[in-house]
Amino acid sequence: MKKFLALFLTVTMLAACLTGCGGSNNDSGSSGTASSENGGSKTDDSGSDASGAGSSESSSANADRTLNIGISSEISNIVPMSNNVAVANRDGLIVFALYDPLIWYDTVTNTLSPWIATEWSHNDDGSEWYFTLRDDVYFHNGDKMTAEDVAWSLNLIPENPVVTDANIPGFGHAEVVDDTHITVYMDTPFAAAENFFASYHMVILDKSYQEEVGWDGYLDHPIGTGPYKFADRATGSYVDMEANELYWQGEPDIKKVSLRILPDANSQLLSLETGEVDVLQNVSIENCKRIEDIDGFTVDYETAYAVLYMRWGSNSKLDTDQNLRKAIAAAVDPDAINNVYNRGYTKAVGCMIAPGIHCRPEDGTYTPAQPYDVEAAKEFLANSTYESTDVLSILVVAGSKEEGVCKIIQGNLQDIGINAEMKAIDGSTYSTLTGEGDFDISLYTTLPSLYDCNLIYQYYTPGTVSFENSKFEGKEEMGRLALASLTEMDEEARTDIFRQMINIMNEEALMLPLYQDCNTFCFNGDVTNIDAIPGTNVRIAEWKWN
Amino acid sequence: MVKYILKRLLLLIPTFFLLTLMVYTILSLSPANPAFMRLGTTATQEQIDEINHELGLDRPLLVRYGTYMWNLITKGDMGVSWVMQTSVYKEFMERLPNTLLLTALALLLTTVVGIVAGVFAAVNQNSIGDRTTMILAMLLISLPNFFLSLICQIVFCLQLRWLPVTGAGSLKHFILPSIMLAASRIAGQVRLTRSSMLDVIGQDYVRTAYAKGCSKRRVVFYHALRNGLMPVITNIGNNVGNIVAGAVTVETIFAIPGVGSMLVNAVRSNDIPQVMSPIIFISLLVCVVNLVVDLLYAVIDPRVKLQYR
Amino acid sequence: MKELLNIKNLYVQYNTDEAVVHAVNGVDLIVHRGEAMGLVGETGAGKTTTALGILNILPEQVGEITEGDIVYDGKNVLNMSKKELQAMRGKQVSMIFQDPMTSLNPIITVGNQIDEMLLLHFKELTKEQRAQKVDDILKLVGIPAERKHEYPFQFSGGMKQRIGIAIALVCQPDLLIADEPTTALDVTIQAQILQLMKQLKRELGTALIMITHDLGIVAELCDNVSVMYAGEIVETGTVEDIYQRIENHPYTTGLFNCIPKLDSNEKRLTPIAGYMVDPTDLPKGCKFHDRCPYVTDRCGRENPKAYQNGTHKIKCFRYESWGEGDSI
Repeated sequence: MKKFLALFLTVTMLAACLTGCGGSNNDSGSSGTASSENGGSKTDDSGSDASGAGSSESSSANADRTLNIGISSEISNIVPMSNNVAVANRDGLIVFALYDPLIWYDTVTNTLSPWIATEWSHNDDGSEWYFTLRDDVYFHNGDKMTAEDVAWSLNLIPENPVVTDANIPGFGHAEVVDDTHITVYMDTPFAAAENFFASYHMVILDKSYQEEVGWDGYLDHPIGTGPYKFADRATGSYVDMEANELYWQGEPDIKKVSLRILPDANSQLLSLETGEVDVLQNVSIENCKRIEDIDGFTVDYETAYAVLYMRWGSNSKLDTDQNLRKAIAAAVDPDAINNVYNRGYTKAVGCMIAPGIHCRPEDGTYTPAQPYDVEAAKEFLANSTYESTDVLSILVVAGSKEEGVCKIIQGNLQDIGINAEMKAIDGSTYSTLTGEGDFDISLYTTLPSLYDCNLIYQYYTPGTVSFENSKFEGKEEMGRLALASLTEMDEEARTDIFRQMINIMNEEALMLPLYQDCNTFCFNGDVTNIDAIPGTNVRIAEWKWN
Repeated sequence: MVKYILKRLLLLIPTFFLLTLMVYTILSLSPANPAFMRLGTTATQEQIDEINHELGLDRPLLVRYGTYMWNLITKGDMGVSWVMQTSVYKEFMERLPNTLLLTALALLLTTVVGIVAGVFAAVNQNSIGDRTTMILAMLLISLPNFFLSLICQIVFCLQLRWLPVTGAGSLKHFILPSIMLAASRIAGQVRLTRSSMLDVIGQDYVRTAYAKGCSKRRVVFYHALRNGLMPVITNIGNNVGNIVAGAVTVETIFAIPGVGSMLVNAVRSNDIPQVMSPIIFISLLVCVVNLVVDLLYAVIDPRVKLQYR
Repeated sequence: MKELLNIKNLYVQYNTDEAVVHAVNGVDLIVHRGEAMGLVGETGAGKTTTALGILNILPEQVGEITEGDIVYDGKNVLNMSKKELQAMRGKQVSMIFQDPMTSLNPIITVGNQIDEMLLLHFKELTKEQRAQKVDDILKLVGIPAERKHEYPFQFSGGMKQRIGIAIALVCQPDLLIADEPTTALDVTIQAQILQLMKQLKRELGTALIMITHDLGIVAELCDNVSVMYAGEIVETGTVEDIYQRIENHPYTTGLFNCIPKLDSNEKRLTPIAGYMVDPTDLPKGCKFHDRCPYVTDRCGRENPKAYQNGTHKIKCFRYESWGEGDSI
């Protein structure tokens, strides 16, 4: 009995110890409170060599309050260009809080405007780009941003081929001209280069800091020139940031921001309701509607540049059977998906590129995608090689919104007598299978990260596995046009190349665009000035306490 | 006894290698190619080959496994995430305390509540208390975890505002998750303890104890409990495995950055180095806990203890 | 001799989910100080139930005393408080159980199991004094004292029963109930245990209720005998009364016929015809009439009273001529 008692006590004490250390460990980063001492010391540091501006904010009652933003998955890469890993679309929020690009792309007006670079131009053949840089930009550690930092950051491009090969083909190198000027030399011209310099792929990093701490250190504590400074991070849980009082555009209104990773949709909703988070990004439309019905919460919707589309596998019979492709295209009813399934919050689109994207031909100037027409679909089907015993596989990423859409499509196809089965698989298997082409139909949502039609080039790049595997008619033509689109510096002519490609895509039903997705922000009454935009470069710096 | 422990520890080694090899092999059999994961649809064969080489995927499976294990054992190096290119060790260590705390709390809850309620129900067999306990246990066992979690989140977090919905900042954050994690196991534990105790209470030596003039309390706690706990303790060992497995869901629902959610994310992206460390942790934990359980057994039951001499 | 235990008109039933088992149906039994009473009958006759009733340790919620009194040393056991009951059990009345394999706690050393009795009932003793007593009683039952640190599984069946006896006797109770103490043991061990009990009874002067189905054991050990059938005592008397085999209840006669006789030429034993009555569905009249070779119409209608001749009482119409005696 005594032995037993002693043992029990030991177990209890052990548990208590675990509890103790676990608790204290986590306390350090729970919310803004504990991390303030960390950030506080930094403030003093940088305050010494700063001009002393930006100390006029004392009136705000919310000075110490942390804005909590709920996001659904871990940050893909917190330091772009650091380790050959691409930034995901959803992470525009944090990338443009911590860092600045050379140029700003406004996704509402579709215009480029000066940012770190006050002016930029290129020579006639597009082989050289000239940038004039601001002289009043500081990194979060107080270092002044120099032309050297910018050129060094640009020269990271060749070191990150996974990210840059398809997004800025032909990049040569960048050179410092003087304190405020750099030149980028292209091996071959790339028409959308300036869009690349405005994207989340390409932000300005601190050269001397990287040389001091290495990439591991940089990833541990990222430093940029953006409106928010990195404060703390727990993998899988949160990233805390604090306002950058030295920001060249002035200190943002909200001083403390925490991005909190909440993978479960229901928990996200509840966290918003309880006030644990103030803002949610891109929750499902169904949940948005629910939040709208609760007093004190606002939802902002905006048609996104991301397009959901159907593709065919390069090893499928669909790849070579145009009639079957057209039969499917005519059988699917995008209106039903938009108006019923998505309650009108998504928008029909005539080709796989959303209107407004750089070099995308205006609607009406290209052949639109096969319209919904069941009779035509049946006719196409009759002329196709489809046999009633065939079962077409539809790939979707498990747990994605495409799963729901897929069910509607299955119904549409059933109506004309095509049997389709859904294969909901994990993201990596999806990437592999779509890359290798071992499937019939895939459903996916893609955003052109450069806000440029370059995405079409990426799909028909000669040399890629999926392109080389495919055998569809007009493949050669598509490849030729794709390569031509890269180097054509004249906007009109380039638009025309994409018009030809889109015409082929739609006439041959190489892809079937279904809808333009919807970006949303749900937030409580304490914050204001939050606008959903079509793109992903959301600026928390513009948000304000109410 | 020491010899026995040593023997058991030695046995852990082949178990460990066999298990890790199995996991490694199964993961490698997946059709998913990490190169495509990183490169997307614009991948050229050349790029794929390059990444495969970089990740060592062009080498035979056993060589890859061997290299991984060698680095792990000699240098404590868990490798680099294929997807994120970040140190697995760092992330693992960051997440480990959360999972340990969560599972320890859940295990403590399961064990204490399960045993107390089970003994109570058995001692008061067929009373209202017994029936209530059993119905509650039945309810807990039949409600899916995510559903129960959602209900509790709505009640305790949204309506009553007692507890936070998500996060891992303080001990308070762990209250609901650990209860949810323990819920269905508590039910099993209660039922097992109850039936085991009932079995013991029906034994002759319990009648002997009454005949000796022991009070009911003394009979239950001195004579019956230790005997009744034997199967219960075995179950604690099983519970550890179940609880760690359950942590995967609970961590996701309550947004606790733990090893479980790390495992889920990594499996989804077929990120072998990222998968291996949680798997190794879980399997080692289960092995060690079962060893501890066996030793506990020996502490309680002299018959077992003598066998180990 | 002074009356120690007086059971009056005891009825016990077991309430199970399926049926009500009438285990004891109106038993009267008197045991005096120092007296050894044999309680004989086949399995299921209600002997053990009666014994458990004396200690009031019938299975909770299942066993129920519906009628009657058990008066021990002037106090009704059924009206005792929990405290009084606990003080009585083990100290004044203790019990040796049928199966020594299962009636000892497997994970407590035998020394501690004996010591527990002293701990419960002689709180004034020091640890050393208790240890001394444990050693003494172990020696008395023939087990080396140094083995007290061992566990029950380290002992053989006979040794375990010796420990059971040690536990029962360590507090020197006034009444010892031995519930078939030798049934689970093989014959040579049986003899040793009986020898031991005989010796202890002589040395300690304890009253004894010896429950058994073995008439031989009773003859060897007991002063008086009661024969039980279907929850009733059908015959009681001194050992001489009954073992003369002149006047017996037909059931007792049947029991005697089941004992092999070395001096007879009979090849086969004579078993009692039929089966034990179903205790969930007792017949009217004499419980034995279905199996009785002397059955009359009256036996099926009416339960016979106890008829007395001196110390000898029999519940059978055949002895009506003796005249009615005290109920048994």
